[in-house]
Amino acid sequence: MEAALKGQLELLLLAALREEPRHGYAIVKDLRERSAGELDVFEGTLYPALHRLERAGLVASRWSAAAGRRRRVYQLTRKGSKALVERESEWRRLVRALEAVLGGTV
Amino acid sequence: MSNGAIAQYLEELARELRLNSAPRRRLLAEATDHLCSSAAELRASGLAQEEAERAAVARFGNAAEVALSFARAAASASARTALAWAATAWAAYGLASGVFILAAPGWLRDFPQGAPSMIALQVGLVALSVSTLRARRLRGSLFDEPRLRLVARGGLVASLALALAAAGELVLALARPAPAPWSEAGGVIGAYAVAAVAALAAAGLALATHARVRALRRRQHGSGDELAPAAAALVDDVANLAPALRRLVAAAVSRPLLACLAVAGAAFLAVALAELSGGNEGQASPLFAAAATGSFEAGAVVVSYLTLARPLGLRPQR
Repeated sequence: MEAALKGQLELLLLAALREEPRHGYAIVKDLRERSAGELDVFEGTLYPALHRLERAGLVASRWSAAAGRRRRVYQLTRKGSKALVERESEWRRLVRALEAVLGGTV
Repeated sequence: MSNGAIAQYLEELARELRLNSAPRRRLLAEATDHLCSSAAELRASGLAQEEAERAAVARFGNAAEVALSFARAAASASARTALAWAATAWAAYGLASGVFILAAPGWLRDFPQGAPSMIALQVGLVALSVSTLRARRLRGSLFDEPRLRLVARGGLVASLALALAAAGELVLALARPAPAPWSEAGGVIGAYAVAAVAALAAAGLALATHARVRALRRRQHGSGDELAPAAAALVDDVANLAPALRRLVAAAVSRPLLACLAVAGAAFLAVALAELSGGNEGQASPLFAAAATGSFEAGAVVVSYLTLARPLGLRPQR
């Protein structure tokens, strides 16, 4: 599960930011809750991935001070939204193909 | 902030990150906030302070691993920047050579002044094309390891070739037997000086990137894994860009020496024919001069192949 997840971390991060801007910890919580605990990533590796997405121009970030705490909040850029749509449909195609091959065994 | 597990972890992470920069400080600040939020939530669910901190740290993951994935991302970005600088230096050098061709006085243009630049521009073009092809395909995401190394090497080869050519031109200029009227060639000298500075800056950046990639490799597995898939990756990259060329490139990569000799032969013919049709009047033997220049070009192709094909992944590793 962990190895399969590694390649899709970027897609998951982009998806977690689809609805609203979030900080890192909120993204982790969102992933954990939505996947009912199945996607329990090592939380620390999230930040290098977020920095990478930012360098690639897919997300933007800023400091925000809420409840006396300085937090880095990430949000999708227009390029990021486009990339999310593309990668999502790529992923769905792959899943459909895999299911077609695996057939009734799933 | 407590002195417990979280504080210890952050110290370890700071040590593992090994670089002192704004992104590192930001990562540490984010980790601090994350761990404190996580521990606070665990405490609210009933854990004792110390237990909550330990659990938060365990969820965050091994510090070395976090630092490694940060270093990998930084190396990818740095390889991209170095490649862009090498391309800029190449363009500047190409421009300087253009100025040379258009505006250099006759006495400066006689052979071999200009030859190191022409060779370096060709070597640089090949190195940049191979690397750009690889960098381009990965649309801003992380490079896998063979690609990261090849992109870093491409930038290094191109910028070092240009820097060496600038040095070569300088040596040739100083080695001229008779005192030359340099004041007549101010524009050409200025253009080369700008290009040389750009090449040196690009080479510095490429060297730093190369060192970073090597350090990353040492951290990852102690020694180097093989570049064997590099040639196959090149075929893939080309096929992605121009499917029609796949078979040609696959054939060239599977018989690299033969392909190199074919290119050298074509270069010989093209240069010799261009020289002949240029009609250098007053030359004792135009046929001999054309053959000499053509052979020189063909020789440069073969030497470049022998020295550069392996680092660039055009020839499989031993």
